[in-house]
Amino acid sequence: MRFIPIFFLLFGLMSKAQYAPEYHVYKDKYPNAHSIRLNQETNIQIKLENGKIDVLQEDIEEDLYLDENAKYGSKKSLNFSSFFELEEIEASSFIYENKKYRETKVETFKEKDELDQSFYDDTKSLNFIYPNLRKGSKSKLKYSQKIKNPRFLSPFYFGDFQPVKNNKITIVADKDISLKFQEFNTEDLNISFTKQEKKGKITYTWQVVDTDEYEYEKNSPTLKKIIPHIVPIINSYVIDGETVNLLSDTGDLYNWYYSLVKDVNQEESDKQLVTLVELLTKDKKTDLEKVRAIYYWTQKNIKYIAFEYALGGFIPREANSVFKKKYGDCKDNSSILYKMLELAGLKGNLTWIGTRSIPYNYDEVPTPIVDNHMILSYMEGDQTYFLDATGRFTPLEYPSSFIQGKEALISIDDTNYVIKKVPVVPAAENAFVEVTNIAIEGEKIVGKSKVEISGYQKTDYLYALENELTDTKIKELYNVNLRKGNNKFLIKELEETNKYDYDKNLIISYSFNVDNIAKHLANEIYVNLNLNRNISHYKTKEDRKNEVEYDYKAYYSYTTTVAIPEGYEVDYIPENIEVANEYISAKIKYSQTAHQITYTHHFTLNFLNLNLNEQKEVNGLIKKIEKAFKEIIVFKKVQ
Amino acid sequence: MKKLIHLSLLFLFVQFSVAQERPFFEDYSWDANPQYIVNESDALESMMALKDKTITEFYFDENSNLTEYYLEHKVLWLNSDDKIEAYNKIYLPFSAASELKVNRARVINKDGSILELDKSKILTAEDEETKRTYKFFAFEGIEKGSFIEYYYVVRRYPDYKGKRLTLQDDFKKKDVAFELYAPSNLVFKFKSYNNLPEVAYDTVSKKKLHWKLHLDELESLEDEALSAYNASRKQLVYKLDRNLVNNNRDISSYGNVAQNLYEYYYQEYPKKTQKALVKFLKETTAAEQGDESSKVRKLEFFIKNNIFLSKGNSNELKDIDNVLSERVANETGLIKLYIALLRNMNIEHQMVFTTDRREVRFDEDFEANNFLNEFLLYFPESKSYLSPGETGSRFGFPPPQFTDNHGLFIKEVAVGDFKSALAKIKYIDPVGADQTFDTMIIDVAFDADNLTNSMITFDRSFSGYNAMYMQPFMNLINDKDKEEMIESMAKSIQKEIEITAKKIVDDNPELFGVKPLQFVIDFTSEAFVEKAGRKYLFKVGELIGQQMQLYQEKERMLPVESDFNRSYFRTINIQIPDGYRIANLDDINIDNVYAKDGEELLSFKSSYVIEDNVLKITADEHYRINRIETALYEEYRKVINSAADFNKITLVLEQSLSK
Repeated sequence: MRFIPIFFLLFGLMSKAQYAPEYHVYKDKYPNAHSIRLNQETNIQIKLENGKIDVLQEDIEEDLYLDENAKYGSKKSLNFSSFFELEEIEASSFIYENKKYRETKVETFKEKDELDQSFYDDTKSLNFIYPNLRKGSKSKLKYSQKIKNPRFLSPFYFGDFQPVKNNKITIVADKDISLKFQEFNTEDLNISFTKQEKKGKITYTWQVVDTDEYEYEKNSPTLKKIIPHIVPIINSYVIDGETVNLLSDTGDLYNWYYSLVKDVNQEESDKQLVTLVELLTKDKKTDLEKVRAIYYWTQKNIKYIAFEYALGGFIPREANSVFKKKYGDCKDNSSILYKMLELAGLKGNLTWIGTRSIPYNYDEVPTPIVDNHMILSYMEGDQTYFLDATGRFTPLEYPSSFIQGKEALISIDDTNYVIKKVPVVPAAENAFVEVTNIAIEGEKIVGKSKVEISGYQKTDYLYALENELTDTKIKELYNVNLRKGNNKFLIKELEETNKYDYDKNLIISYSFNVDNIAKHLANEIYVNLNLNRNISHYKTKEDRKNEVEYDYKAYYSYTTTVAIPEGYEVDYIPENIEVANEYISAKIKYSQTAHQITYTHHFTLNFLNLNLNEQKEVNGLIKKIEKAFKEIIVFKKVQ
Repeated sequence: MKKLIHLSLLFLFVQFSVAQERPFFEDYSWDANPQYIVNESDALESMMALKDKTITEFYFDENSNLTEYYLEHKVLWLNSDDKIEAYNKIYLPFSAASELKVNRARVINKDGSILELDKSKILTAEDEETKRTYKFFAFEGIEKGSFIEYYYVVRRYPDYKGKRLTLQDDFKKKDVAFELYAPSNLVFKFKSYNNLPEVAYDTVSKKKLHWKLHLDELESLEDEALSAYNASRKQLVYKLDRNLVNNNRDISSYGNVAQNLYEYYYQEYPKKTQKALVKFLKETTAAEQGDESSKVRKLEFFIKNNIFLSKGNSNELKDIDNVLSERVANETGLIKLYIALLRNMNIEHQMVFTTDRREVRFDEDFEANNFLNEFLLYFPESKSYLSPGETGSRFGFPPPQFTDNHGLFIKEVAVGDFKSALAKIKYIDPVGADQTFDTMIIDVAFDADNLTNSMITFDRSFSGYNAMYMQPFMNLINDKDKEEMIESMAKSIQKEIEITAKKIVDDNPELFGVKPLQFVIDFTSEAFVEKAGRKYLFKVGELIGQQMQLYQEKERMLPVESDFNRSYFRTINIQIPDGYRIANLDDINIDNVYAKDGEELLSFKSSYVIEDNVLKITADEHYRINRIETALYEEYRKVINSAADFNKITLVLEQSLSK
């Protein structure tokens, strides 16, 4: 009887050890990869037919699954829309059994109207499940789509979150079509590129082999800044000996954009809208104050709902209609702002812009993938104000945080435009400044604080506060966000000033206790005045691979005055410290008078992005501050 | 999860041969001149319902088929930007088999102007996979302080065997109503929960049966942390009870359901299927394991690692042959597969249907299908449960929200050759605290040359529910991520540490439920000691990591509903440096216990001993009940906060006087 389990055991091992030779090769080569893309091929045909450009794209993806995560890759979803029309699709799984792969074809593909991206659009997904996926299985997908507008060629990427064995892109274009290829992050990549002309067609190929997987890290900038890729652009084409420009430069892009907006807002304005603008602007002394009134009204009253059906994603709706519906997307907001300014006798300019998730500028990529957003610019003297009414609580002087530093394509008239860079708001304008007085009572401290919050920091608070409807929840929010010392921090009385005001700083005055924070022993009291240590959040991991990105620059200042306990004197005060580099500066300072000690701690975060070297410098400096955080004040009983 | 709906065959309804009334909705409309008024006292609310009405009618259609007309009518006052954004888009509940009969929506502004939404603006989206259809629209012209009003009627497959309707929300409601109409032969039964008044029979109605509930006002219920909010809201359940024509009684009783379910899940398998089952079973190697529990564990491990669980609702996903060949199933398909394989191994088991107690508690006194939402398999021999549909759960540790609750147990009984189902309502005991623990053994020594530097061996093991989100999935984690996982275990205590050695013990996923998952990490850190003059402050409490602190400034309204029972065991051994003593040992002692009938149900106790210059601290914490009534909230808070207090303990090291 004892033989039986052993026999089973061996049998079990033998039946399990069924993997194709290539599985072992890649498993050894990429021990940490869950899967490898054996082949990724894209074939694009660009033809001129009847004076129009036809684009057909075919994609092939072949994956090999290296561990038990295979099962989780079973479900696949591809998106299509009126711009990207699915032609053909086939998908199969391959299971390795008895020394060969057995193919199972996917039979059912299910369509779904996607509602995730906007309230209503024409995106449909095609969903299917690869049967039988397990460790050692392969999957293969092949599909083709018609790209309905030649301006919408998609970038192709060399790299993925899994290693890629073979990556090949082929573009076959009529020789009358002039193409440009803009490369990003390809400096360290070995791309073999060929260009061949044959029978009136030019074939371009790019091939890259053996790319390692990219790693996802928190707070990374857009992948477009990390993964190597090429953006194909159709400059122009020749028809009957005439060159027709398509996207040869920003001008071409602008002309197309302008053609989509030129007919908007030609109808007579809704009387109520006219009255509203009069009402909003009648007491306003300057043009800028009129703009402010209109801008804030729009932020408050037009809610964000996006309809993006076909070119509806590019054409703003009539101001009258936006006004009636009280909702719209970024273009609709820009449209109503434009009209309202016009009714007030002012001139706004429709403006296309890419948010920080798109790292291209117009010069490099004059195609619709360079931007994804529309705002309204208002120019006065040398100043340009960037009005983005999709959110709330954005003061006129601040652009929305996610367009800081980006190029804005500002419409002037049917042929003229100007490109301006949106400024990055300085740290001091996104400030958190708090002044606190505390007294030590036994093991706890009791105190009063007043904090003034401005800029994007204020906006963040206001958004968070909107969700909290009861006094208890509001206090809970502040208990977490204003915490001092430890989680025994508890706010007692609370007063908010300028809550939800667009221009004024948010001021919160409150009293609080923190338990278990002061230590008494014999004739001494110890207390650590470093009650806020959030600078530490900006330290990144030593082995980080990628740049970090933050929403905005910021400034923090904490001043805490502690009364010297009755009958005690100061025995020890820590040393002051001040550190600074280009990206960050910080200091901690103690000063003493007869009855109190005043502690101040400031720091400035003067960056949006930090590359790896910059992160090292910032980390080093924060470590010095953290060392100072450990310093304790000692009071001693007067003998 | 609707596993039952189409199983419970619509048995033939015989109706009286009287002329049918028109369905109620044909005469239903909203007020042509609406006058909605918000009282001064409510002016600060961010939103309120001025009407919240649900009417459903069961109706014999022209072909004498029972159908249902379901109406919802709401008037909401939206008084904040946030609430406007939350309610300006409406998605109607809908399925492919339903038909939208009426749908009207309008906005009534403060100035009295009314904007009705054009029918063309009602949009449709479809999902072939889940077979769901969405009808949705956006209200136009909402301003702060506007009323939005909409009502719709859906004709749908009748849902009469138990349907739950929640009336209470986190905003105040006025004019709240529920009504049910039925043909004169179909008698419904109702039950209200959480102090909602009962639904009453309307004696005035003659040709149809009519029941109703009306409330002038329904107060809001706020969500509270650690509560079963949804289960605590005022709600009602209705079900069809009798058919007066054939005098069929207890129509929605579990006896019928159990038999249907049994017949659906316990079929005889054709030869081909049986062959495929045997082959599959062999591949799992389950049958070759030792005791019953090992067999079930192996079976579950294989299935959960090899079969893809789809949310789809197609027939292939429920078809056992297809599941076996494609290795893709939905939950129904998985249940069939488990049952088939268990039958093949002759392992005794029962089907259990219950609820998620956070949503609604199983009512053992009111039999209705809405309490049969969640599925478990029960193994009488080991008194253990298995959840086929929850990928994150393992044998012996079913999703805890399905336990500590009643359930319907269905078991197969054989009388001679005749097999049938026997159903019984029983309690699903929760897994005890002794099976879910988090154990820390921490050894601390100080660098003699630099007392601010501590050298720590941190040994932490997890079992039961505490291990369930990690251990069963260790095969899915690559070595690199595993390293990071161990590191983050130590760094969750303190970020500023230098790890010198680390290991993970018993990370084989199949050891879940057999052995704890253990992490052993050696590190040094300067973060635990601060220097105050000649003394050193050692933040010993921080070694157990940050602990939850509960405040209650407002009166607690809802009972605490924990997920699972659990214990924490912590031992900290501190090598006291030569020439030093600890000045405040008494700070270590904490003792907070809630006991009932001599049994300690909730407790936190910490204490110390000193042996051979080693200070040994123990801090143990137990939660042996999941539900804590509101009246006992303070007791619970005291125990929870004891851990947060312990976390703040700082020991003062001072030079011994003897030296």
